[in-house]
Amino acid sequence: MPKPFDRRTALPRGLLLAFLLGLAAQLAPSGAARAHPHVWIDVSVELRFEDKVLQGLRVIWLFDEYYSAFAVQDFDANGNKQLDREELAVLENSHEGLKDYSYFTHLKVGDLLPEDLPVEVVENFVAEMNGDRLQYAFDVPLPEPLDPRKTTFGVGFYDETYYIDLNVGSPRRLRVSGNLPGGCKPALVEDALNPIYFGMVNPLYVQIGCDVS
Amino acid sequence: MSLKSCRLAALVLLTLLLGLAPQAFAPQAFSPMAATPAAAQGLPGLPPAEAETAAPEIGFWQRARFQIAQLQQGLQRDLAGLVRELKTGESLVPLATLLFFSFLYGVVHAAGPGHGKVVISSYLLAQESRVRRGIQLSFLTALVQAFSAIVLVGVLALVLDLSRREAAAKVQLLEIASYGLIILLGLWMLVAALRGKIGCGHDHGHHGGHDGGHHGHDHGHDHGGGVPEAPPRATRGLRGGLVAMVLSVGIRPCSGAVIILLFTLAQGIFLAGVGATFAMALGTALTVAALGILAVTSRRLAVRLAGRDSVWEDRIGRGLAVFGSLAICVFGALFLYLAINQPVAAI
Repeated sequence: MPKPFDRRTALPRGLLLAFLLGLAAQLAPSGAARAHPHVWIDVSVELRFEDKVLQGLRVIWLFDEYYSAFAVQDFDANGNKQLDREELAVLENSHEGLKDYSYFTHLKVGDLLPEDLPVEVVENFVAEMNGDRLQYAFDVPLPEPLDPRKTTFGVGFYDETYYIDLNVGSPRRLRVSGNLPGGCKPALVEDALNPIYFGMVNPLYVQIGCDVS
Repeated sequence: MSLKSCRLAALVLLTLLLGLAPQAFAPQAFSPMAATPAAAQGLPGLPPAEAETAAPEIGFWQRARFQIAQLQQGLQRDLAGLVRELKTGESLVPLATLLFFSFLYGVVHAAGPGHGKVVISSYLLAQESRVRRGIQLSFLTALVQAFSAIVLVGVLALVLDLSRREAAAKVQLLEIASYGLIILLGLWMLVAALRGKIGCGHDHGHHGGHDGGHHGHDHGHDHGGGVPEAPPRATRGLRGGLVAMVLSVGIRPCSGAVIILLFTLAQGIFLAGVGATFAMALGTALTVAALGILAVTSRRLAVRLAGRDSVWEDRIGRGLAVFGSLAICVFGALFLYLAINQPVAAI
């Protein structure tokens, strides 16, 4: 038999082993940290005003190079390595699947939150190629026209699961058409209070701020 | 080591352990994000969806890993731009940049959530005291992974089915095969460790002359009169384990490599993708080798702390062998569970 149990050294040695065990477990995979996102979309948004009232939004999604290249491969029915009008029409006709995800467009109107205002219908949906990149454009109508001086308005573009990263990114991709009420200005604001993806990502909202005097 | 310094070391280690343990045993690996999330269904061509459930709490390590993942995905996007530049431009500058960024991607990719390094570290912790072997293992595995990705995309190109979905399905098959083999390897190592072969054989070889005779003696005692193993035989057994490890971990291709290969193929510059894949493999190998060195050093430290006490040396050696083998089995089973339960590998 080996030497009897050594009380003096057993504890530190046991602890050392336990430490190594803990260290090894650190290397274990974690679901939350799986490499996301897998698709990137550069979002541009146009706030459409008429008579100082917000009528709706025009949203443009510019897909990343990978998704675009793979979409070309998947939908290139005639094999000419590009998407022709008829092939793009197939994409256009399948856009309604996005309504289950509120078109990744999340509205905040007054006290109403995105879950109260799912985007289920969009208009004028167009898919086209913008250079090498696939682009979707569509109009998001509002439940009713809105005066930003009376009702607060915000719209965020994000996928809660962060599989897709939608990003307005730059104020240059934020436009206003028509006449904005005086003292009002759109801005990009991070919503730090309602982070998505395990609290690791703050979604970006376009908000209209007004100086109410 | 004196009793006092032992206690001090124990205290430090305990503190560290307490800090690490809650995270280590939290069930995050089974969190819903391991599956392909729901959003995929909204866009055609991506793997199908699965319902999302409540998010668990996340800790410091998750955040750190998320940052690494973010960095990795950012690099992946940069790679697409570089491939485009390479396609349109005439100079070779973009190629050099592409290779360099691919290398960085590999370094970061291996540092982030990944499977290969966990299994390799466990293997080294279980039965390897030579740093050189750890480095060898990391580089060989990364090389096999690169070949696996190239062969996979090459075969898909031959059968003219190059959709991302199809590639993802094939990657999933290879993942399942890889994890199955890893479990088998872990079981084989476990059996060997329990029968006392691995722990003894290795320590024997490492400590060489002054310990040798003594060790042989011990060995006879421990295993009820077994014949001391000759070092060459033990080494040969290890080499077999090394090859098995390289193949079982390596047949699963890196998803980043598959993506860049598919992408460059679509752009008509597949060779650039092959170069990028090898550059990624080099980067991955470096990170995994660093972790491998850590594992080997931890093992040596543990064995050294046993001091001259050869019984403890033997016990720790064998304990690590059993623990490492068990870890490989558990990780293998965990990965297999995740791979089977996600609709399609997310690439």
